Amino acid sequence: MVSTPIHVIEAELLEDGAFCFDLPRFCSLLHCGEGEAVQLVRYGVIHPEGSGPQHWRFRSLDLYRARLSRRLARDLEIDLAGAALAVDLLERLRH
Amino acid sequence: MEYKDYYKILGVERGADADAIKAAYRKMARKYHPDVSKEANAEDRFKDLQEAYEVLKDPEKRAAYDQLGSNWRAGQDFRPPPGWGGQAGGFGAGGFGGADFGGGGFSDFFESLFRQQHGGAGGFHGGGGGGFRSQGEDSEASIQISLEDAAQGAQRDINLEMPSVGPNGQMRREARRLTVKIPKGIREGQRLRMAGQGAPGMGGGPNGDLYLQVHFQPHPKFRVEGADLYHDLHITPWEAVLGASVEVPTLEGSVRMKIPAGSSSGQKLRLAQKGLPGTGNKPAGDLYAIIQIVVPKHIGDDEKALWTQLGEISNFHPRR
Repeated sequence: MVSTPIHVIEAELLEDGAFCFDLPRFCSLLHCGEGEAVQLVRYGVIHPEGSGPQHWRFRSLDLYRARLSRRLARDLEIDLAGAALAVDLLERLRH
Repeated sequence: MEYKDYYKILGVERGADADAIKAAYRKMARKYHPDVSKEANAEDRFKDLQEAYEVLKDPEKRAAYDQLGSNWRAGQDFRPPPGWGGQAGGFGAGGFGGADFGGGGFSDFFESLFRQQHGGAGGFHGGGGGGFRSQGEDSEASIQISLEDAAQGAQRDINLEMPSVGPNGQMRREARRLTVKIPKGIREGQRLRMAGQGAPGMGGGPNGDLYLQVHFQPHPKFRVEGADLYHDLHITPWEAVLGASVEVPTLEGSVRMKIPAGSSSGQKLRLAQKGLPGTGNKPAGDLYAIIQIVVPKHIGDDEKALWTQLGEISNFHPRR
């Protein structure tokens, strides 16, 4: 009997805490332009390390916060400032 | 299929104006948004809300929905009236942008009423004509694994309900089973990214990614803090007083550990690098055995006599 091969998906482990993504990589993971990433930083949704976009380094937590803020802004029809506040409060509630 | 009462879902009267519908949606969305809500069935409730709002916020869709009349009851068996497709063609292709699609996949009821509208969006599906192309949305899910899986790495099947594109180009939700490789040394709460396993792209756009957050199942022997493991090590009073060599479980099997004479409850004994294994530049965790002195609840006469004798001759007085 020939068994059907199982397609095993390789998963990329996103390290907690480490500032490992530069801006182009972060934008590629978030599927966004640099302008959107700059806005997310400006409104305090994400907090990269480094001074200026060329030196920014992001954590996987930033990626999660950015995706969460997008969902909240879209689904609750709130602006980025409101989404940033909601993301902060949700994070506090979970810790 | 079942009729959906979109007004009831949003909690508004049939005559509600656009502002009232928007306010009701926003209020209910705050309550049931899956990222915020702890309500049971929040995800299903939120999907219903999104669907109801998608229809009632759009004057053309709302007018078409209202044409069905007000005699229907939620959950009632529903078939679109004869000739419905012709009416639907009049909706045009507007108002259904990719960004509105959210998690994707509305109910069969919605699809039966508004499928023409989706199909008529030219270039929205299949990459032809209008050239609308969009990246599929990223999806989030979580998985529970055992500590042993985290320590050794494992392949695990996950069952997800994901958006997909049906044969007619409409979005729907379908069950998917994925086999994912869990890397060795993963920690509680860490996320895995599976490129291209999220919602499908539109018009030939790439799929979104799937993010999987890993949680540990409760373990009968260990608690976890970061990479360190904690085990309550039960010992007898005489082992605590005299010292002993006892077996301690680890994720790789039992090891023997020396209990120093004069140990007390709550004392921590460390087994270096017997916690979760290291990954990349992160070191392996340690295993801490927390001493718990356990006393026998039932003793025989001989034992009682010995304990009594010990009490009489001992000069140990911890309360002085």
